[in-house]
Amino acid sequence: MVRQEPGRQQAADIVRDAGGRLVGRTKLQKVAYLLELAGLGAGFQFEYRHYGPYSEDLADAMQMAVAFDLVSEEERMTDWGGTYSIYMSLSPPKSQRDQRTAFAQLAAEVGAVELELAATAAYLKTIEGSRDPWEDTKRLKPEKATSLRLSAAKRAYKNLQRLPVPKKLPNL
Amino acid sequence: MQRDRLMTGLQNSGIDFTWLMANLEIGKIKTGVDQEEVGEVETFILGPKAYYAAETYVLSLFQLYPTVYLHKTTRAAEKLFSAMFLQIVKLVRDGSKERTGLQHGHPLIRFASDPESLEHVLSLDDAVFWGALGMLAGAKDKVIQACATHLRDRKLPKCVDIRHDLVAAIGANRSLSPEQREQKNKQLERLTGAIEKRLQSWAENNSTGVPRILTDRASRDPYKRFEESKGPLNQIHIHLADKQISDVAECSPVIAAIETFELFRAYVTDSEAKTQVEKIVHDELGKQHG
Repeated sequence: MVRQEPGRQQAADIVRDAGGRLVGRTKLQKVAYLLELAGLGAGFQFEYRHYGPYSEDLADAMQMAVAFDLVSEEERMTDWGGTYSIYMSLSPPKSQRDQRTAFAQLAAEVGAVELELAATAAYLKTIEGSRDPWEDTKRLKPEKATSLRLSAAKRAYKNLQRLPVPKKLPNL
Repeated sequence: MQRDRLMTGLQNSGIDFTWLMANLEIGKIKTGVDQEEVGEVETFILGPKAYYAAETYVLSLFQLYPTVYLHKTTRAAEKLFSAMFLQIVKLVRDGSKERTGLQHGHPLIRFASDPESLEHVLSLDDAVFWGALGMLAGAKDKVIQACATHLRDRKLPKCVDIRHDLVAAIGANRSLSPEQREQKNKQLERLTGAIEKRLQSWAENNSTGVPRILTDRASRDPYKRFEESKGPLNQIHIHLADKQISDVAECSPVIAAIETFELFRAYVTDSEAKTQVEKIVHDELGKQHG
């Protein structure tokens, strides 16, 4: 059987399962990436971009989810000059908490920078076979990877690794 | 840009490159992730004297999209080429390369067999394609044969500008309030998605050679606002007279006012296909209006 490519409903489900509210496009992308890595994703394909693993298909699907009123998006200006989006699910939450919701919600609670660092390290290990993914992450993102943030990212990743998931997250 | 503007009615797109380069400086800009500020990074910025030159650059580049890069004839040829190339790859992968009309070891065959090879990529250029066109026109495979013949004889499919028709039909014009426009844009997105799916399905079921309907969707921002995938260093920053550094979209009312250029077209090979496009558009518009 040919597997159908994920679309707007699958993009909207990420917001719903992450607690119904997701702040930031970076966070959306990284939560989705880690879900894929844990075997809980919908099949979005990721590649490396400026902020780490990124899926153009997910970005497009989320745009369609907004167009079809599955998700609302509010765009705000940041103090540093960029913009960020707040996604709100317009679907009712799942009746029961499962592995996917537990994982997505824990990932969504991590700070955006720390989540980006953790997802980047996981990507470098999984896709590029990095021997020291944290060190490589530090080299790629020197302005973000301070020792404080890296420690927080490692802690957050370890917490995610402790959750029961279909596919074990790689050790970094 | 200085070359592409020629013979297109856009002589004004000849930007002041020397002035822009002469006013390039190094400065520090703030960076962050979502709403969190991270720190500062060094990057190139333009000096205050290059403000209008930067504005002209953005506007001029934008105008080259509808007139050159996304011109309907150019895109029709690209769509034909894509359909043909995909078929070549498919046949090579299926072990039927003799049906492509190309000789064993041709650069296109080698590329289709192993597209990850840098050597194979570097062996492709305009000359290889033009040289192959005659052979492709003699292919046993009907899709390749028909696409190559159309390209060779400049018999390109005709364009139906669906987005133009949809905008007119649902009244998505500039006189609406921002909220109304947002609703209309969502409606356009939904219509576009539904129509595109039906057109592709019809073409798949009713074509033997060249796909009888080829759909085309694209959008081009005049100036790409900050994007998660590219980061702040992708932006044009200006050092303003008051020593502030700003993203050009935030300080230029000209750039801020330009809207994204979007297209949704169908290219049709015959009158029946054209009628089908019109029917599907009409049907979907009817559904939206209840």
